[in-house]
Amino acid sequence: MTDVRAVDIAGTLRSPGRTITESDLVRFATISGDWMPIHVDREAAAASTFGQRVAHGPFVASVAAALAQRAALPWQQARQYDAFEWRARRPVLIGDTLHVEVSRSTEEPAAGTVALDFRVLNQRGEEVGTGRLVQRICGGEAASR
Amino acid sequence: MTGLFWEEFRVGDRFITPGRTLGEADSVGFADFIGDYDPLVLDDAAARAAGLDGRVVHDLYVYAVVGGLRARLGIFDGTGMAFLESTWQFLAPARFGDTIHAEVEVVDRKPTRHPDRGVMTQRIRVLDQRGRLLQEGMHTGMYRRIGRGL
Repeated sequence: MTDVRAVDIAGTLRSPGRTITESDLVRFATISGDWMPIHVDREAAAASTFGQRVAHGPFVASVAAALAQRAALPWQQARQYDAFEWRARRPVLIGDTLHVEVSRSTEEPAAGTVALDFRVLNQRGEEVGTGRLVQRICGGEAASR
Repeated sequence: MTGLFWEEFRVGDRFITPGRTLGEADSVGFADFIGDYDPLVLDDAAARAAGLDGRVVHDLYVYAVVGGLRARLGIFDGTGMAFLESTWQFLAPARFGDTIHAEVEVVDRKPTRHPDRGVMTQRIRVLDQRGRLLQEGMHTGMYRRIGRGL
């Protein structure tokens, strides 16, 4: 039915990388309206647990979801979000380069969904977080929800 | 302005965020920004072919805006320490021009081995102007405790 690349549990699909920049943090603050000092105030963040500004959790989660899809789904496939889980393990700092490894992709034709299990790694190979993204593959009725 | 400390939250506390009307340019800009090129968000013909009457608002844009609306409550200013976990369900897509707000309810609090911080879980419900539930989820974060400085 769909052109989802099959992945067995022994293999992984690796996404392209993305370097998280200072501009990304300010842009996400602008888009979301979350201007908490830990994300946008260098001086206040210096006194925090992490010692510097950290990327917004929902931004890292969103980039992770986008990279997971780029690794595992054909770009032209219409789909809608069904469920999303994200567990952060480490802060993402300005200058970190992230990529996603999709460890498993599970298609459930009866439900019309595809689930991607993935983890996000930084440039040192440290796990930044893990997640699971479930999407409804669209065609006809699936889209109308 | 200082937010609330971990001890000041009680299970059952509820907060209502400000509202925000979702614009077409915001949704498209968000898809470009994060690099998630869902045809239902960016391609009107594809959305119609899938049975919709046009493009929908990016589901993760709604999720991101909810984070901003929560921040604007002010209750986490200076006391919100870290994002730990999010479990989220997308029940219906938002449409351009919809006005959303979120209901935040404290559902769990746990101390940690560190005396200066505690874990708290909130249930978050995202509603549109008609009261329709669009998204629902749990958010768990780390929050500062009283008397440990900022």
